[in-house]
Amino acid sequence: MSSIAHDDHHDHKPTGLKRWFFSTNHKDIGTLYLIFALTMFFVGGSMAMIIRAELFQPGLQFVDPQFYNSMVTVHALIMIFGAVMPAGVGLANWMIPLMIGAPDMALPRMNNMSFWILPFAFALLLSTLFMEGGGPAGGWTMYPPLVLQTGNAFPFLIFAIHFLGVSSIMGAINIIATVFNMRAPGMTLMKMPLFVWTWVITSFLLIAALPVLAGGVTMLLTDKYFGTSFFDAAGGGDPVLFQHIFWFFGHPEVYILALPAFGIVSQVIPAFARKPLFGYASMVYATASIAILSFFVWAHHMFTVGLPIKGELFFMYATMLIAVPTGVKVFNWVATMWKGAMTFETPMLFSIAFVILFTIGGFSGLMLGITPVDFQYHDTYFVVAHFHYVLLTGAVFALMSAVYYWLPKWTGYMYDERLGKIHFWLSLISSNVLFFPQHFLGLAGMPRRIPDYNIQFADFNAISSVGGFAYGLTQLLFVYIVIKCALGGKKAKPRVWEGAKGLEWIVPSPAPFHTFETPPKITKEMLDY
Amino acid sequence: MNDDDISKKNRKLAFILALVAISFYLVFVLMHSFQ
Repeated sequence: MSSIAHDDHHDHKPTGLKRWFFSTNHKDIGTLYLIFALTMFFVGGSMAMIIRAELFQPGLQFVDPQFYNSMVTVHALIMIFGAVMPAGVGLANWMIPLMIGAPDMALPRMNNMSFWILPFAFALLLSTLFMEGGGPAGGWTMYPPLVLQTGNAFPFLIFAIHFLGVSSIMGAINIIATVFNMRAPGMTLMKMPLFVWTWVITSFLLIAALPVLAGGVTMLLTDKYFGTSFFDAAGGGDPVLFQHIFWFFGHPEVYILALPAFGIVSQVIPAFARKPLFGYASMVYATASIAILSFFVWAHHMFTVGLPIKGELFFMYATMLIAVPTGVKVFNWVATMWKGAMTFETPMLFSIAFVILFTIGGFSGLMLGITPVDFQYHDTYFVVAHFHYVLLTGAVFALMSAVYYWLPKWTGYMYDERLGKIHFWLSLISSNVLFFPQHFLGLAGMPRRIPDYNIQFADFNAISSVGGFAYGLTQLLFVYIVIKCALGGKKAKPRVWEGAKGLEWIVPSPAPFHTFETPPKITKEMLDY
Repeated sequence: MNDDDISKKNRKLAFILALVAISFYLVFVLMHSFQ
């Protein structure tokens, strides 16, 4: 503890705008990432509100179809690359050095650059909405030849994606270097918190998958402007090739979004069940297995393009295989809670909801992974319901859980527990009202990415839209809770939650600007998670 | 190990990982260019 007091004593920090623009401090950069992610969550969320308003009733109400398609496309790009990924990187920045006893990230200046690329990349992307011809409207999957019809927005889209990729790869390199080179003595790999493990594995996914996306979109760019025919059948190319390239990135991307969420839940559940995580080693191996398998299932997104039957069978069975390590993880979370002395503070509520609702999303994913069944469900609202269960009630709920779990450590104050619980229950109810009916719409045949629909789909769409507006409004409460907590409240202790284990809880709350400049002495009790 | 040694080790690892990422990118584009 003497080293911590020492750090606290010398807690000098820069002031003013310089502190944020030139920051090399992992906590400040983490904060920047989290604020950016929350902002983008509302930008992407407002596009979702436009989508749900248009779909509230059949017929064209508010926007023209081209703009509607832009909203669908940009909503997805913003939520994936602007909200969920940066929120995960923000948590990684804040917590990984604290969890492994490192003074900062391994490459602090690169860390600054990774963040500051993001606002410029999204400025490029969002500026397209004000251009002649509008924003990109071919879907976030950018399939040619449709996406090649995009007007002036096209190069902006491609360069924005390149920048986002560079930013994420630099972030991933930083995390790997930090974890491999900067751990405190005694913090062996198999003693690291699960959150750190999931981020190391995610970082390898990012380094392997994002260059493939970058390659694919570069080829789109040269097809449009430089006369190549990678994806043009008339020039000897193949549009289906793009789908293979895109999904070779796209499926690992799903786990880039989900694995850090698994890590968060694996921290929160043991803390509030007051028991060590059940099957720590199996959790690590299951995470690694999911990551490896994610590179062998990409064509389950393309069952209807006319793959050879043997190929379809291979990808179907490979997809089913992912259910095994995922099942191990769900079993371990439930077994951790089993006979635990559980309490239900807001982080725990979000984590339990995650386990249940992510599993529902996983099951609908299994249904979509069955080739003949997918022929019926492909490109319907069933798919929309599936991935929103995985990404919203999955990844976003886990991120909410993480924010409530670590907010007192960041701000030094406890958040308002009563408001936190209200936020949780309203989010839980509204998100299910929003997405559960979409399963029925999809099963009945409503296609995705359309601004108008047959009258038979009217009732479930109206219900879904009401859920959407309620969910959107509820998130304003979240902002209020976070701001209220940042401004003051009940003082937080160093160990905010009595059952929480790990190095982040031995530093004071709020965590001083500099921590672990002298490596901590690690005892067995500290790591009993 | 002193701070300079750790920085050197960090930069070396970062360089290798960046090289891996750039080669994936180039291999992907070039592989499809020469078909």
